[in-house]
Amino acid sequence: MKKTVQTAFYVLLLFILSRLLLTFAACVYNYVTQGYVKTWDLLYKFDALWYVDIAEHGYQSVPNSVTGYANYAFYPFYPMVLRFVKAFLPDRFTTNQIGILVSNLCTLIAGYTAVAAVRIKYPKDEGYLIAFLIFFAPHTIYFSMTYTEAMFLMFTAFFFYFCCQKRFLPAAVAAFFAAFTRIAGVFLVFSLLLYMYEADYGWHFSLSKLAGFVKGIFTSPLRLLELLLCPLGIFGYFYYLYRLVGDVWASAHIQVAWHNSYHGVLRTLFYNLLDSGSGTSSQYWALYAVFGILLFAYLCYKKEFAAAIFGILAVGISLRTDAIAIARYIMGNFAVYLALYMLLRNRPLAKNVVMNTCILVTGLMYYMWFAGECYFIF
Amino acid sequence: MKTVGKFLLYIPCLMLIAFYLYVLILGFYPQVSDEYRAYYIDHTIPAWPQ
Repeated sequence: MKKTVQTAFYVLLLFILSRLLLTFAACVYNYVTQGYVKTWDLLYKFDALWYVDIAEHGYQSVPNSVTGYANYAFYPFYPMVLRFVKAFLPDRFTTNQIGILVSNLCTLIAGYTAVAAVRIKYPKDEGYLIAFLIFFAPHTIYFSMTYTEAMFLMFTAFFFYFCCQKRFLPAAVAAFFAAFTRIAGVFLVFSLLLYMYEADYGWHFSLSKLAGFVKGIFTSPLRLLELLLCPLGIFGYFYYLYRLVGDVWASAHIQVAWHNSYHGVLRTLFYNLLDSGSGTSSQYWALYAVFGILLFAYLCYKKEFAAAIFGILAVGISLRTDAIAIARYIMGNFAVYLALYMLLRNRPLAKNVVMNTCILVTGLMYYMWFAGECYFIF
Repeated sequence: MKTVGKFLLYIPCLMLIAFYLYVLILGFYPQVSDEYRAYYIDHTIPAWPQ
């Protein structure tokens, strides 16, 4: 009990320090511009506007007649929560403020859960580094605003925490909510399969073991139910889209209004790195994608196949079309924090360098976001 | 008793499988306008008709 309270206190302290950095960057921005804009207004940009729109007005059935955009490209659970919370709070709270509140709470819970998860894996570790990374790593600004990243990270952290404990039913419930929040969450079903296999046979593969494993799924209805639960949220949304728009895959089809597709991960990487259409930003995104892929390869090397497969598939689905905003998707993926933690936990010098760099770069990124000079990097 | 419970667990499993199959089948038959199909699905026109 004492340890739990102590852990919660240290995680909370790290969290407060990270938000102090964000607020400080906002103060610096206001000082430089000689203005006075509230921090939550500085954070209210790009996709945050879409989520607020969905929370306040629901989904539109017809795309915008000028742009071709439609808000059903964004997944429903996060705006549903905002709407729910808004119903219990006084009217003076705007939907954006509630979004920021919800996201920050999710980030805090994700940090605490992540520490608990790595302690199961490495019982002698304190594990605070992973919470630090979640609060301070570059591109984690999205965890402070009305974006789905924080909630998605929280559910994936729950998923890996329960899988580490071999409690697959709560893990499946966490995967269900993750997939309801962002489509990438649906890939947790493959991680769940791998965790189940590891629980039964370790990482020893043979045809007879594979056959026994598959047979075990169908003869154990609870295990089958756990696997089938994971994609329920997303399929429910697909069905809703059919009723609303007449197209089950509307959320995927609408993407054409935002950008063209490169139709393949390697093509995306090639064109963004070498034949860049949008200059430095494309190269930055492509290099960030390579960084993410290397981290997932490291997870494979450490035999963390379940986390690696989730990372590869979740990032791969985005890279199939384009590298836009890939840094956000990578840093919103729990597998990345797991890989970084494993990479740094026994390397004190590297850990110090990374932690200091994180604070500097993240502080700068906060400022850039507030200044609106963010499209090329975010 | 345990066997009955186990058997009962297959019911939600079958319901979920049926629901997923139903949604997947619906995916093959979009009920949309010609413009929607041309722009978003077939990509035969370059822009959303205003």
